[in-house]
Amino acid sequence: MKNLDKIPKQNPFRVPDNYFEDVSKKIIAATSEAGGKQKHPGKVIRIRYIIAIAASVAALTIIGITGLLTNTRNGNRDIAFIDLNSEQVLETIIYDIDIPTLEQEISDSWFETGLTGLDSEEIIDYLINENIEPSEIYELL
Amino acid sequence: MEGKDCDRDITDLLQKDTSKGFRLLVERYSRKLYWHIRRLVILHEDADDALQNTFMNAWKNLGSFRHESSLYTWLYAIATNEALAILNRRNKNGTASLDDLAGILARSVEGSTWFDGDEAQRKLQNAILKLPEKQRVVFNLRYYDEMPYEDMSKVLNTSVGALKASYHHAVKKIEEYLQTL
Repeated sequence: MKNLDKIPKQNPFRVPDNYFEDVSKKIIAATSEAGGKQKHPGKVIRIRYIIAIAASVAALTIIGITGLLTNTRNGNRDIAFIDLNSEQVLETIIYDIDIPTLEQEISDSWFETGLTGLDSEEIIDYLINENIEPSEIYELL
Repeated sequence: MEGKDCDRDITDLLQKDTSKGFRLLVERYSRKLYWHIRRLVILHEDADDALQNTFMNAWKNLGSFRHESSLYTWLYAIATNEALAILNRRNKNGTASLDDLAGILARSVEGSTWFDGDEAQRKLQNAILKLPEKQRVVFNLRYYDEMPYEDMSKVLNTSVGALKASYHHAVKKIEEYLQTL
């Protein structure tokens, strides 16, 4: 028999006399004072959503017009950002990245957080997530 | 019985008459939520604050409660957050680490007039207080509230497998602690 099973499963804490009656009255009184001031997040989310879309459209428009005007004024009409298709944009961005540095960063972080970094609790969590019974796992460990 | 069907009377009443529905909700849940919070924060005064905050938050956010989900898991989630918020505030204000906080809470159990458990229960509370925060929540919900893992998954927004693992880790650590005494 385990030690935990020997301890009676009962609540060891106490509260002042009439606590639950008093606190219920206090809560009801407080909510009555607050009245119907409940949040309606559905409306807030919708307004925020509309504002976010409007802000994004405005930002994209400004960036596009600025890029077009700048490149047109400089006589570089052929390489204006607005004229590039999505593949060309991606290539432009990728060419600006230092690939060896990126590879180094990826490999360092991989080895830091790779399998060697797992502790026994994480391995047990994984096995339980794979529906292996905890008792079987503890027997094997 | 816990869960969605059990609280159908409350959710129906909340839609017809919010004040009456909320009164019924407070009557049904104040004790359960208080004991859940109390086992986490230990001190009655903190549990009292967290309980009142829980119901005030529930009242303010009734509009966001999705009636097809369970009122009981929604309330337990709010209560758990309030209890952990109080513990975190206590930790930031006065102590350096979670171990220190566990020590302070353990001493609160020792000296509290609102604790009337025997020696074995005192040791069990001390063992529970030594657990990491998440394991402590999971252990209390499973051991004392006997909450099904599926419901706990909704309360803590964690997978059932991870919760089972947490509970087994917690039991193992408690057993180890109890054996050393």
